[in-house]
Amino acid sequence: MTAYILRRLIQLPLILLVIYTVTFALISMHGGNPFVGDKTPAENKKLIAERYGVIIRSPEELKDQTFAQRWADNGRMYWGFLSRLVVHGDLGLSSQFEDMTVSEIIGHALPRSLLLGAFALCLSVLVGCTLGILAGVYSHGPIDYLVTVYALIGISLPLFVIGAVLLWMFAFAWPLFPVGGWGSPSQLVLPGVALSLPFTAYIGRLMRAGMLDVLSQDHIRTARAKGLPGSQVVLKHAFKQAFLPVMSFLGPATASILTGSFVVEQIFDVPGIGRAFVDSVTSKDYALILGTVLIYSTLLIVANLIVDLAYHWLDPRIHLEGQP
Amino acid sequence: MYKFLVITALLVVLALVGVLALTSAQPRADVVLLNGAPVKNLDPARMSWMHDIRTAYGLWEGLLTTDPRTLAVIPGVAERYEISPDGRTYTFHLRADVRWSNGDPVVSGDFRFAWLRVLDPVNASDYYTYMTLIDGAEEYYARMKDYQAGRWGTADERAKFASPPPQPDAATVAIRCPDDRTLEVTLARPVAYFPELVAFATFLPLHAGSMQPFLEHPSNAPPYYATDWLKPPNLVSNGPFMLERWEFRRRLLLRRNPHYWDREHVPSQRIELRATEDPSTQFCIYQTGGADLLTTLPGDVSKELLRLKAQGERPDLHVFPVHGTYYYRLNCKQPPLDNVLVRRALASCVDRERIVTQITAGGQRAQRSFVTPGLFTTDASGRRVEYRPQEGPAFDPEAARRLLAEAGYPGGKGFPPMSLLFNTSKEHELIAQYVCNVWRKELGIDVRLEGLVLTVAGQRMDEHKFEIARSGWFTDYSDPNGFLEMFRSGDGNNDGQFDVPEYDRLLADAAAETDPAKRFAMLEQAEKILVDGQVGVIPVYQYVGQLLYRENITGIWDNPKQQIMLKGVGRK
Repeated sequence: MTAYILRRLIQLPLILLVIYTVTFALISMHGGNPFVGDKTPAENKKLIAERYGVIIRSPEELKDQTFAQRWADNGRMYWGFLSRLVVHGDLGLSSQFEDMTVSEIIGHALPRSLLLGAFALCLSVLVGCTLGILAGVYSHGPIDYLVTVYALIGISLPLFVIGAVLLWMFAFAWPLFPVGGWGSPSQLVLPGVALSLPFTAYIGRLMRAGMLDVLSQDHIRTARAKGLPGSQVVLKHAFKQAFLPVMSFLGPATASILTGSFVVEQIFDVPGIGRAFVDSVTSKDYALILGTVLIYSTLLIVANLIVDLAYHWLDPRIHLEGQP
Repeated sequence: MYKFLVITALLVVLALVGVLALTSAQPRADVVLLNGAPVKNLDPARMSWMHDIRTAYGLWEGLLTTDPRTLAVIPGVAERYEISPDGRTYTFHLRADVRWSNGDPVVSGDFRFAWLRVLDPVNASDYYTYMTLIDGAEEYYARMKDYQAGRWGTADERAKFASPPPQPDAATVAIRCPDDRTLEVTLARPVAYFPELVAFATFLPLHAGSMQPFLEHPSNAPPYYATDWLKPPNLVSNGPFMLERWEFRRRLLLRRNPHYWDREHVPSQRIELRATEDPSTQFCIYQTGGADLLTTLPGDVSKELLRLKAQGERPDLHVFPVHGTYYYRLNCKQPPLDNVLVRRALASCVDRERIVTQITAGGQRAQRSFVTPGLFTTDASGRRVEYRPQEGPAFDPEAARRLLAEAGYPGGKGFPPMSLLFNTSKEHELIAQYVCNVWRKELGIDVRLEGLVLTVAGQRMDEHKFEIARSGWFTDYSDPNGFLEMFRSGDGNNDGQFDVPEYDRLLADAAAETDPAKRFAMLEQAEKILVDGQVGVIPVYQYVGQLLYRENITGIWDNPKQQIMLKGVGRK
């Protein structure tokens, strides 16, 4: 077990290196530099750009720059960011928010996204499991159909529609919650609910299918035959097994929900990491793109590892890779 | 198992909400202002964005400052100043009772320190050219650049010098401090609008002592201040407010500076500058009472609000013209646009009225001049001298067709393919579509639309790789020069490579002219060349400022620079 965890953790930096390299190549392929549009000509920005890890060429230099020279510049930037990160543990300065280091931005934005994500995740597991169990136990009845319709809406409606509807209903028509922003518990509710809806729906569907499958199995019949009350059969015996598919879905779901959804952050004005990530791409903020991509990847990989472990714990018959 | 899950989940949620509730227990600020995008840069030497400059005027105060009601330059830290008879030397006398937020007195050296910092190339100040108006500054900047390149530059850059250039002496810049309360500045030549520049953000003072701990000396770059000096509680400022909190992308919280000399005239104890980028979200927040003031309205909403205002509703909406022009740059060195007949044909075939009434429809004014109307100055006898903006060709498809035929493209035949570049936004795209459609219909030419993200579009303009490109320009000081300067040959913003010796000569002559009326006449001639004679640009409309603020908010005036001075903003 320990060996398995260790091996996965050792893989982590290698995977991150590959992700970093691919991301960097992608950013470099499309032109432009983050200091474009400032009033001072590129010439005067060279020194300061270097502080931000970016190499700037004046239009004249760019004109006679060969392909090889361009990629030599990119290579220098690549090593610059990488060595700064590895040697000093420093992600550099953001060129979009010029007074902020990437670590500061992540320090401000990530906890907000994590908080919102954790809230949405708990909500979707609680509500999704409850709905799924009800739908599974009372299958093909009115409750099942209601849950199915709900799931259909939750899965198929895009977040920006759900968000807008929630806003209209609970911030305008019936002003229970503020429109957006961050800082008070009431500001967490609407984005949390919006973010949780698709996940709730998906978990509900998985739970229902799992329930239906398990309830027809032999050991459930045995449990019923020995006279256990229905609720105990479902919650004690069936639930544990029916929860497995949900568990495996939770891995990727946790990562994507925890890192927040850009759309939800945008609609509800949540200053989280999702928006920092998307905006960093449009403004070609090298340091911030790399920082957020690395954070996202780490979260994704760690979440998957935790799920693998939880899987093993829930159902010891499942062997972790490489275990005897 | 089930119970365990439920209990954990509930505990987690409770803990999260608890954390949030505890960390956010604060009273609402006196005024909450939706400040648009998050802070780009709060360093006065480097800032150039309007929302940052607005914040800076709340935190710092210059020798002179601006009256938001009239836009007149009024005394700030300096109680008075004198100008020498030749118009070149300004002597500022500081008030006796001005203090920094930590209690230290504000001295003339604080200004010299901040101004010299603008002239340090390592800070890449967007507005260092304002500082180079000071005698000796331009040379100091150039020598500083050489010194830095020779010492910290790449091998190529170092190879340019036979021996490393010495560090230039700051004493060669004509900023002198005879004593703590006197600052003497000599300009290289008289500049009529210098007082207005002194009131601008680039000329704000800085507290050197509190910045010292953050000075970094990297081995491969000139020394610079790490950005932590700007973060509370490190930042020491001398304006009406001090920075209490800076929460990334969420807000800045300003608290009244107890040491500010004019604190009796600061009505608000706390002002919150909330960062919200999306205009629709901003409007929703304002509409549901989450904020008191809004500076950017979403396009569709502003049309509806204007309609309501016309019916006497929405007294909180304020729409007023500002000194900014929406225009199309023409790349004058790129065939076929190197032919003035082609440029003139295109300019004669833009129906600006339709654009402002049908597309933007937010109160904008169709404009054929590049300089906005309403700029003026006063001459020695105190008489007001108005600048008369010069107009380019009017909408006349018939004339446009003739010009195009004369240029060798009758009916658009043989016209090479070209594109109109714009940074992606719904409104820019609609306007561009309309303009290109009219060109196709009336002139028979095909101009492709090319929408790119701002950074990429900007780089293409910098590299002159475009034919026609959308742009907007707001002047930073109320003088026509602020518009016309950027079309001087060789200017860093002259992306369209407009290169007319006569134009350059007129600008140079105007700069040396001390009589305001004669100076304006020269600038008018220059503008005539720009928009009509040589058609280096196609102006489209004059921007409007749109503000929404509640009727109980005081201290805000509609002015053509959209200047909001936080000092006077309060609640009735």
